[in-house]
Amino acid sequence: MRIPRSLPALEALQWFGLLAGPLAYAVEHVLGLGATLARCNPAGFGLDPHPYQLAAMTVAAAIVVAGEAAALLVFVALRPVGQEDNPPPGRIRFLAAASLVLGPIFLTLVLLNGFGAVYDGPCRQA
Amino acid sequence: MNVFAVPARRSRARGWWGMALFAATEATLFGTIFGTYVYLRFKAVHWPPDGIASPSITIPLVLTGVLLATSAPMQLASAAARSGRARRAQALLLLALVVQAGYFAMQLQRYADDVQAHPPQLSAYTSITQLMVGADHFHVFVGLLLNLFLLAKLMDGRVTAYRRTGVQAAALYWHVVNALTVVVVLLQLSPSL
Amino acid sequence: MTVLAPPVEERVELLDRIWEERPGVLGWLTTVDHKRIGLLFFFTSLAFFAAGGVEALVIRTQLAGPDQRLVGPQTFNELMTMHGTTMIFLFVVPMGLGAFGNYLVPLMLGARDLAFPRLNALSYWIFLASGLFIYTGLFVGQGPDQGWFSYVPLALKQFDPSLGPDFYALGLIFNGLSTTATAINLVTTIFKLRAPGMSLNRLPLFCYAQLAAAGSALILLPPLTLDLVLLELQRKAGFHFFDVAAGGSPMLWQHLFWLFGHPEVYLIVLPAFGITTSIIPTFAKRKMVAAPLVALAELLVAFIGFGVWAHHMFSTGMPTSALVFFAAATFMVVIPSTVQIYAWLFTVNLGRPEFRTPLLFVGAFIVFFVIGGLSGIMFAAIPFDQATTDTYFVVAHFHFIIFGAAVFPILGGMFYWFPKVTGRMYHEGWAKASFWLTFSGTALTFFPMHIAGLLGMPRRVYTYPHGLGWDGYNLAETIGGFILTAGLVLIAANLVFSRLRGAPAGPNPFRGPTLEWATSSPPPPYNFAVIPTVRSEYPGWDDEALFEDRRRLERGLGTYPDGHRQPEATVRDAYPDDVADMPSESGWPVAVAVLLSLMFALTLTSHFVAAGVVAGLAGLAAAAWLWKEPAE
Repeated sequence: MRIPRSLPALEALQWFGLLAGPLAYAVEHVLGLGATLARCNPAGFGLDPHPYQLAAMTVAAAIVVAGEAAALLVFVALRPVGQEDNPPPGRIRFLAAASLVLGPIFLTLVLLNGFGAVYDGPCRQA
Repeated sequence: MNVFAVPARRSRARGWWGMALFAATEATLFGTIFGTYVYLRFKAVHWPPDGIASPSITIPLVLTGVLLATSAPMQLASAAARSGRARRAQALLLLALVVQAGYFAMQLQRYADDVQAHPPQLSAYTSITQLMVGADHFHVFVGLLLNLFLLAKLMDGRVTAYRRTGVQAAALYWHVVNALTVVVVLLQLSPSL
Repeated sequence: MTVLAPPVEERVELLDRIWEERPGVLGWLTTVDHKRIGLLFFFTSLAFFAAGGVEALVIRTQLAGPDQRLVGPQTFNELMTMHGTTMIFLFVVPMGLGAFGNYLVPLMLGARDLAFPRLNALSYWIFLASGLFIYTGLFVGQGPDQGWFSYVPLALKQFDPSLGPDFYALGLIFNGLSTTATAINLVTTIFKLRAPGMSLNRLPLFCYAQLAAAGSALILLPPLTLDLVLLELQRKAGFHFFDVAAGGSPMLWQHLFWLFGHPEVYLIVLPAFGITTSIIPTFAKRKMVAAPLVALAELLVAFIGFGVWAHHMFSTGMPTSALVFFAAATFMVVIPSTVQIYAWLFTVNLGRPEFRTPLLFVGAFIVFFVIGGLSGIMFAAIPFDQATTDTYFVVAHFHFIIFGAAVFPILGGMFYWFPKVTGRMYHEGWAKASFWLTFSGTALTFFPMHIAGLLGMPRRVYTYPHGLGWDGYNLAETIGGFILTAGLVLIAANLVFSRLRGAPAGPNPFRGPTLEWATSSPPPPYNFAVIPTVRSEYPGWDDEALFEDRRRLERGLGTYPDGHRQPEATVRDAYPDDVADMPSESGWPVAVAVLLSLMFALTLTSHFVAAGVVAGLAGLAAAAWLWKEPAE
C-alpha cells in the first residue's frame, strides 16, 4: 500500500481514523436497539430483526477496521514527527496516535452488540 | 517558531461557534422529541388511534418547501455581511423575513385549528404530535425575532464585526431550524405517507 | 518579585485601568470576569454542598440503628430526594464546570476571559436562582419527595398532588439553562481563545476533560429537559405521555431520564479526571505518560457513556436482545477509564513523586475510583444487576464514584489551586491530617454499604427492624459519616485560616507546568499582560518561551492595550487570525435571571398567561443586552 505523502491527505485519513469507528458503533447501537424495540412492541411490523442486526454488525465492524488501518497508516507515515511538534504535522500525529486505541474498543463493542442481539430469541424478557 | 508571522486567515468567529453549539443542543432536543414520537408509535397498534383522521399531506409539504427556500436569502445575506455590504444584507434579511412571517402566520392558523380539532389531551398521539409541531413553530418564531433584531441593528448602514457574526449566526440558526422542520413534517405526516 | 522596568510598568497600569471592574456589591452583581464568576460558582455550590451534607447526616443519623424515629417517612423522603438532587445538580456539576472550569480554563489557555463573558454571568445567576427555587419547595412544606430520578407514575398528579414534583421539574429545567450556557461558553472558549501555538496536540489535558464534559452536557441535557417538560405538560395541562390507558408509557420516563442520567455521571467525573491530570504531572515532576491516549480516553468516556443508559433498567422486563446493547457498552466504558488509571499510575511511578496534599487526594481518588469502577462493571452482568438493583450495594457503588471519584479530586484541586486563587499557602500539616480524616471517613461510610446491600437492605427505607443483620454496618456507616464531616470541616477551617494568615505563595509555588502558573497569584483581571505563546504541551516548563513572552512584554507586543481585547485563533492549530472585542461589565444578566425566575415561579403556580408576559419581558431584556456592541 502506498503511503500518501501530502499533509491534507494524511489529515483526511486521520480524521477518518478518529471518527469512523465511534460513528459506526453509534449507528449500529441505535439501529439495532430500534429494530428490537420495533419488533417487541404492539406495533410489531412483523419484521425479524436478526438479519438486520447481523448486517449492521458486519458493516460497522468493517468500518471500524478501516478506521484503525487509516490511523495506523498516518501514525507510521508521520513516524519522524513528535507528538508535541508544530502543527499541522504534530497535531495530526497526536490525533492519529490517540486513534490507535479506537479499533480494539469499538470492534469489541460492535461484535458484542451484534452477537449479543441475535444470541437469544428477539423478544424474550430478561 | 514565530507564530505571529502566519498570514491572517478568516476562520469562523466565536459568535458563530456559540450559535453552532446552541443549534447542536437544540437539534438534540428535537432528536429526543423524534425518538419519543417513534417510541410511542411502537407502543400503539393503531397510529393515529381510532377516531382520529390521518393528517392531510399537500399543504404542509408546500409550506415546508417555502420555508426551506428561505435558507437561500439567509445564506446570501450572510455572504453580503461578510463582504461588508450592509444594505444588501438588509434587503435579503427583509426578503427572508417576509416569507418566513407569511409561513408562520399560515402555520399558526392551521395549528390553532388542529389543536381545536385534536386537543393534545385526547391521547398520546395528539400529545406528542402537537408538542412536536408546536416546538417547531416556536423555533420559527424565535428566528423571526432574531431577523427583526438584525434588521434593526443594520439600520445605520454599517457592518461591524459584531453584526457580521450576528448575521452569519442567524443564517446558521435558520438552516438548522429549516432542516428540523423537514423532519418534523415528515414524522407528522408519516401516518399518511 | 522583580521590579518592572518603566515601560512595562506603564503598559501593565494601562491594562489595569482598562480591565478594572466596579468595586463593592454592585461590582459582584455586574461582573463578567470569569475568575469572579468562578468564585461565585464556587461559594454557592459549596453552600449547597453544606445543605446536601446536612441532609445526608440526618439520613445517616436516622439509619444509625433500627427503628429510629428522628424524622418521619415523609420528611425522610424529602431529605433523600433533596440530598441527591442537591449534590448532583447544585454541587458537583456547578463545582466542576462552573467553578473549576470557569476559573481555570481561560487561564490554562492563555486567554483573558471566556468566549461569552456576559452569558457566563447569566449562567451563574440562573444557577443561583434555580437552586433557591428548588429549596423553596422544601421550606414551604412542598418539597420534592419522589427520589432524585422522580419515576412516574409516582410523580404524576393523581399520586402526588403537591407541588413537590413541580418544584423539582421546573427547577431542573431552569438549572439546565445554566449548565447549557456554561457548556457552550467552555467549548467555544476552548475552540477559539487558545494562545497562539496551542494546537490540539498542546491543549492541556484538563481542558480536554472540560471539553468532553461540556460537550456531553450539550447532548445529555436535552433528554432531561424534554422529560421534565413532558412531566409538567402531563401534570399541569393534562397531556398523555406516561399513562398506558391513553397510549403512553411509564418506561418513556425512564428511557429519557437515563439517557440523561448516565452520561451525567461522566459529566460529574470528567472535571475530576481533568483535575487529576493537572495535579499528577506537577507533583510527579514529569509529563503525563501517553498524553494522546489520556486526551482521547477523556472524550471516549463521555462518548461511550451515551450508550449505557438502560443498564439502570435491567429489571424492567425489556427483552434480553435490547438489553445486551447496554450491557456491552457498560462492559467497555471501563476501558478508557482504565487507560487513564494506568497513565496516572505510570506517571507517578516514572516520576519523582512528592506526596503533598493534592497528590494524596488524587491518590485516594484512584483507590476509590477503582473500587467504584469494579462494582460498576458488575452491573453490566444482567443477572447480577437484577439481584442487587435497589439495594444498598448500588448506593455503595455510586457513592464511591460520586464522592470518592468526583469529590476527592475537587478537594485536592481546592488545595492545589488555593495559592493561585488567594496568593497564599495553605497549612500542609493540617491539610494532611484533614486528608486522612476524610479518607478514612469516606471508606468507613460507604464500604459497609456493599455488605448491607448484599444482605438485602433496600435503598430509600426510612428505617428498618432489628434482627436482619444490618445494624452493625449501619452504625459503622453513620460513625464514618461524622468522621468524614469532621475532615471536611477541618479542610474548610484550614483554607479560611490560610486565606487570612497563610504565607505568601508567589506565582508558582509547586512549579506547575500549565499557563495559569505563568501569571501572578491571584491573577490580574486581564490574566496575562502579554498573551503567551506556546510551543509544547507544558508551557510552564518551557523557560525559553516564558522568557520570550517577557521580552515581548518589554517591546509591547501582544498586550492588546486598546480596549477589552484578546486574540481569536483557529480551531485546530491555534493560529491567531482575529482580535476580538470582549464585552465589559453589565447589569443585564442579573435582570434576565430575575425575570426568568419570576417566569418559573408563575408557571409553578399555574399563572400561564402572566408567565408568558414575563418571558416576553425577559426576551426584551436580552435584546437590550445584545444591543450594546462590545466595541462601543
